[in-house]
Amino acid sequence: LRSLKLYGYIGEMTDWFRNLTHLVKIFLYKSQLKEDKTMEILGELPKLMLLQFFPSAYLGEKLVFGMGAFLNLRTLENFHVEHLKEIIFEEGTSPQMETVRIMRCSLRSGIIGVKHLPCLKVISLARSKVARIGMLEEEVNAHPNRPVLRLSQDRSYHDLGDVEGSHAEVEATEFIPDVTGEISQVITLVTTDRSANPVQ
Amino acid sequence: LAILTIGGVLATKKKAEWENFYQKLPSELESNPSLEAIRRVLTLSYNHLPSRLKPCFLYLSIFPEDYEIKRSHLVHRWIAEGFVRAKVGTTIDEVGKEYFDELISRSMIQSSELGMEGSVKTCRVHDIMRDIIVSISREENFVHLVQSNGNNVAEENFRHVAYHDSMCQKEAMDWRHIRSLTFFTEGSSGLGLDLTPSISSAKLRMLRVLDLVGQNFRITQDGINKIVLLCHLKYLNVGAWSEIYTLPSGIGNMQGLRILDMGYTCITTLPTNITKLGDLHVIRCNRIAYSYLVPNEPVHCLFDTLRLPFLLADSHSRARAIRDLHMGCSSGWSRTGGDGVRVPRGIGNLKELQILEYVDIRRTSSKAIKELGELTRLRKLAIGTNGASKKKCKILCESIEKLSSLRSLSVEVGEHQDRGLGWLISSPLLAT
Repeated sequence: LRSLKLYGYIGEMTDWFRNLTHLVKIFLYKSQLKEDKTMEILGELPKLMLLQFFPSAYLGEKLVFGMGAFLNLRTLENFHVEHLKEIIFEEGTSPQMETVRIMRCSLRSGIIGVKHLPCLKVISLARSKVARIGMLEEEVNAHPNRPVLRLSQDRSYHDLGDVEGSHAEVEATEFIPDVTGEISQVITLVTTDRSANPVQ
Repeated sequence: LAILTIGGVLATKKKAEWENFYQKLPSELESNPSLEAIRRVLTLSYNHLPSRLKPCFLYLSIFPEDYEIKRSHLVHRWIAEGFVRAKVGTTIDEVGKEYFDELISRSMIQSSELGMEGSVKTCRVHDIMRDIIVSISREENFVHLVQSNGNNVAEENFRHVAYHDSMCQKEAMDWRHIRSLTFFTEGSSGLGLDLTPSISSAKLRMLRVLDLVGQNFRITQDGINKIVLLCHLKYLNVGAWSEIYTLPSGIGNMQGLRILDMGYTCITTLPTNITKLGDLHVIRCNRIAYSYLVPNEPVHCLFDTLRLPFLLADSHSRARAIRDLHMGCSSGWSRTGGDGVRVPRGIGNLKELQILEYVDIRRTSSKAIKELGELTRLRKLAIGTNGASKKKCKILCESIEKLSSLRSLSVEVGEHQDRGLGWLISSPLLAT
């Protein structure tokens, strides 16, 4: 089996999925998957290239791409995954990942660790809001593979600012001088949306 | 060389004239002697194609300019036209794919989109190349293109007719020789012109392919009743969306039918006679969603039932309300709805079937579900188990397990279904 589309409740990720060793694409919708074993089991599918989470596919707040997992994954799509706050790419994960598409999500803790994706070409945010977008931009700009950050709206639309909580406030004051500098960067990023290289 | 030659022509003209020149390129190709060189070069590459590839390549002239052509679409149509020669030890579909790859590697067509696993999924034909094959096709009475800005006087015996942007006009054409009719027309009106008058001619009896790609035409129930009389048809695509209520049982006479693509319709049940069509490779038959009488939303449903007389009286909502009533009555209203179509017993006879979508398991009998397991060539299966009993789901699991060629599976369960997809993911299924 190469392609599997599942519409409906799964709840807990079962070992059944470990059998799908030939699976290339998986599409999940209304699965209501819990955080615990989901990414561990999916991450071990040796041929998986396309991972699509659609509304209510995943109930966890964190989506963690762990070290040594998703060895063949090329594309991640998150479409309106309501509860999701944070996407984390750990060091040594998803060595083939090229495209990350986030659609209609509100990531209140941000996207962290894209610098660990050596093949990354595109991150696109479509009608999505992301916290700490400045940090994401820094990671994108410093990335040796020169990926593009595509924004469907103005930067201010996508920017959720910094994470709520006292620790974040301290960070926020530290970040203020940078933020103004970055705004000009982002405007150029938007205009060079389709070019192969990001702005320096 | 082709690029150099065009450059040579452009160099003799002023910049302002380039755009003009570009637009005239097709007609210039036939008259201007210096462009004759490019034409010769490209025609040469056509002449050097092996004879089996020539009709396949000329056939590309039915597609509009810049059209992104899907490999599967093209290969299915080649096969339906009889252009692909079977080889021992491989399937005809594989041979068709080889033809496609050969045209790519000879640079006759350009690859456009690659699949996840690296194979070419779509292609395009270069503008100049297309101009050349269109003109060869015209000379050989192979393809006739109906375009609003073109010369539509067709008095010859064309084999293939494609409508690009114009309305369907009555033409003084000899329809008796036509093998394929293709409609690429995209509607700005969105009205969906009824095609029934054009396709009900008995003269179309030689037709092999009827393909509604664009959105501007519709097939109605009357239309499909006439279409099933075209007994040589091998490829039928009635378009993405149409108000067809039933597939006539006369479909059993279409013995050559390979591809049946109904898109989204109001059909709720496949007729038993479909199981006589032993050469069917593809069945796509999806259901239009309810507009008013959504069984899953009882309150809305009740409200809309009460105002049904008003819905039926209003010209805007009438058609939709009738559609709902038809689908509801013929599928047995039930709160857990269930889209898709009921598949008849005998489905197991369709040994060649590769794609089957979309099966309503609740309304398909246990015996027919069991027979699904006999479709050993099946590559792609889409099912809905909304409202189906546990027993049926268990039989379904056993059937899926037997499908050794299955590559793609789509399963939809209802919101109210006990344990959701549990029946699938707790089985030892698909372990290989």
